[in-house]
Amino acid sequence: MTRPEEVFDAEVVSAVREAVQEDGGSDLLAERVLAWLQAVARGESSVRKPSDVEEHYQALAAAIEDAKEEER
Amino acid sequence: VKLELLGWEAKGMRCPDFTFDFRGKDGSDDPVPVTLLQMPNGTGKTTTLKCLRAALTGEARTWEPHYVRSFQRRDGSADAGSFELRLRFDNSPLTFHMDFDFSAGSVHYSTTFQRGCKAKYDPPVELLRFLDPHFVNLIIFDGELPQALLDAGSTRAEEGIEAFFQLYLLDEIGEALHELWERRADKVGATAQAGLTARRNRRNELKRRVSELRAALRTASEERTRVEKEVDELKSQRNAHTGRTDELRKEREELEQALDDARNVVGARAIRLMERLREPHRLHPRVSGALVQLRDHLDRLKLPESTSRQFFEELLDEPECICGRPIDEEARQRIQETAERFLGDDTAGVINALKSDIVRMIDGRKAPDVSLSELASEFAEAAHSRDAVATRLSGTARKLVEEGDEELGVILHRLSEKEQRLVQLTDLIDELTRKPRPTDRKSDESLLCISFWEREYSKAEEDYAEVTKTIALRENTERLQRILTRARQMAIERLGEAIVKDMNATLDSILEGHGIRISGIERSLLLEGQEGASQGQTLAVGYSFLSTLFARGQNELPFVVDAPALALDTRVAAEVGATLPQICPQFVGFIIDREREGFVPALERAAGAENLLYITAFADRPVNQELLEGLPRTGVSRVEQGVIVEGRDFFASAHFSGEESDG
Repeated sequence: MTRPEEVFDAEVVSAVREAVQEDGGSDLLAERVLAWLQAVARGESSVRKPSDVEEHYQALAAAIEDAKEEER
Repeated sequence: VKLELLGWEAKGMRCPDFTFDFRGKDGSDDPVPVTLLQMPNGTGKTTTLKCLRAALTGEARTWEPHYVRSFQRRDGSADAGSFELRLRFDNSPLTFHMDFDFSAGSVHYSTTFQRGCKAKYDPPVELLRFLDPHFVNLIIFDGELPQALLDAGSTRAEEGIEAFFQLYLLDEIGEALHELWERRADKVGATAQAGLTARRNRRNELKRRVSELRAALRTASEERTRVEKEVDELKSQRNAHTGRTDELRKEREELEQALDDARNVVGARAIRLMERLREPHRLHPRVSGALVQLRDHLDRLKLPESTSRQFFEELLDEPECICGRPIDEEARQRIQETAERFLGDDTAGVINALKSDIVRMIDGRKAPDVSLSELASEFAEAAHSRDAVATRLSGTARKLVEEGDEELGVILHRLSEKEQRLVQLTDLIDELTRKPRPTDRKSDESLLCISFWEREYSKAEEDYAEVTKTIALRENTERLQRILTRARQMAIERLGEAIVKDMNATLDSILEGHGIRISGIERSLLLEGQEGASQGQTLAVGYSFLSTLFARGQNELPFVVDAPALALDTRVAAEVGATLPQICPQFVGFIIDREREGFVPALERAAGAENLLYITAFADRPVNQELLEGLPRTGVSRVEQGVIVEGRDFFASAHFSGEESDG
């Protein structure tokens, strides 16, 4: 699997991770946001295709839900 | 991503028909790292640069006709022109071809990639993000860019960073999430979202009801099993009392058999009566009369258009009509005109079927042999007989009680109670387990049908889940948008700081002693301690900005620059020339003779002479007479309205005596 740093500048990757952390999000959420960005940047996913957006959203929502479960 | 510029070809445009091939002379398919295109002003550089950008971005699809016509030759000698840009994308050939129609004022694209050619602008999806106009304006460096980077009112520095580091993807993903929420919210509706608590309560209430009814069914079923056993036991005890003598037993057995027979008769007559009730037209002459009246009032002579139009069309091709008469021209025309009158919408098919059923069921059918009232009387008579036998059967036992069998009296009393309870339980279980009826209403709180409430619970559950999901989606979307915005803000701040640091190191090197430094990036580049810079300093700032971006990028892209050293003094030009081969894998520079000094020798030293391609191209016009007279024996290509000369010697000695405005 390609590392996000191979697609984006390291500053962009660390900014995403820190923004997620600042907002109380989990590492998993940060990795999934980066995975979506990577998929769009590499042309493997389109932000104009509802099914692609839905698929990535579900992955993000599951990460958010998992974090909530852990907190409980 | 690796993008390489292999060359381009212009035909019939406001520039000579130049064809340039940037591949090495050794037969290699690889472009040389540095190409210097020496072209005097007036040779069509501006036209070429516009075409290069348009070929990459696809923007010519939306050009206004008058703008398209500005690419036509000044003498109007060509109604059409073309521009073809040849590239290599990740080692596969990629060509964008633009056909200019000057009469119509339009441009049509075709794209060839790998082995397919499509008659439209259709770049590979992986490349699309690099073809954003903001990005293309960085790799095809126009003369206005350096000044715009420093202009406080311009956002090109920030746009450049956003495009180069793909920060716009953060916005696009945020926008995609927002659209997803909007689509979901449209489906569910705002009112539904507002009523989440009410929906949750309703769902919980239905869940509780279903659970209670299932428990009631379990209890009733268990009790019925128990009561059935008790009834059987009590019946055995009763039979023991009523069968004390052979005579009594025989009488009871006969009556029991008679009761069974009477019950069977009742059942058979009930079925007959029910069958009649299921045929409303046979209930009463008034019902059948009303049905006939309905049929007469329905649309007449109508066929469903979707299935019948073809019939009329085919009939027109037949020599004879369906009635057997020949179809002449007059009849054909008449059929064509009147066919429309007979065609209705698709409900015509249902109406025709209904009319046909009414005719089949009512017309021409004999009245039933036995009337409904006769069937009802027969049923009542059978029920009466059954009750009479049942009374006689119970009468035999009561007679024994009257004769002093007190124990039998107790048994009969308990049996009667249990049988009543059994009926109640059976009715309750039937009601609990029956199928839902159309007349069932959820407002009826006394309704016991479990299937009905299960269905209602399932609907409420789906409704609640949908609203919950939408609300979660809204919360998650807001949160993710907040994260993406913050990430973009942090990324641009940090990239800005890193770029400023690297830019200053480059500026210290190429503008040594000038004291030009960048203090920060706020939409545009901010000069440290000064308001403005000279033209040369501005150009050097532009180079340092782009070289910093290219050095940080993850992609290999060509760099096309118009007048790369025109505004620079010889020393700075030499510094820039020495730097360029290091900042990009492929450099294509449009230069004029005055830029050679300092710049070209430094470039040669940095890139290696074998990695440079020298091309001189000019218009075949009197103003270039001196160049035309000095053409070498080899390396010369004459094209429509122009001349191309390859080779270092001519390049190094060419002098552009007179210059026109560029076009």
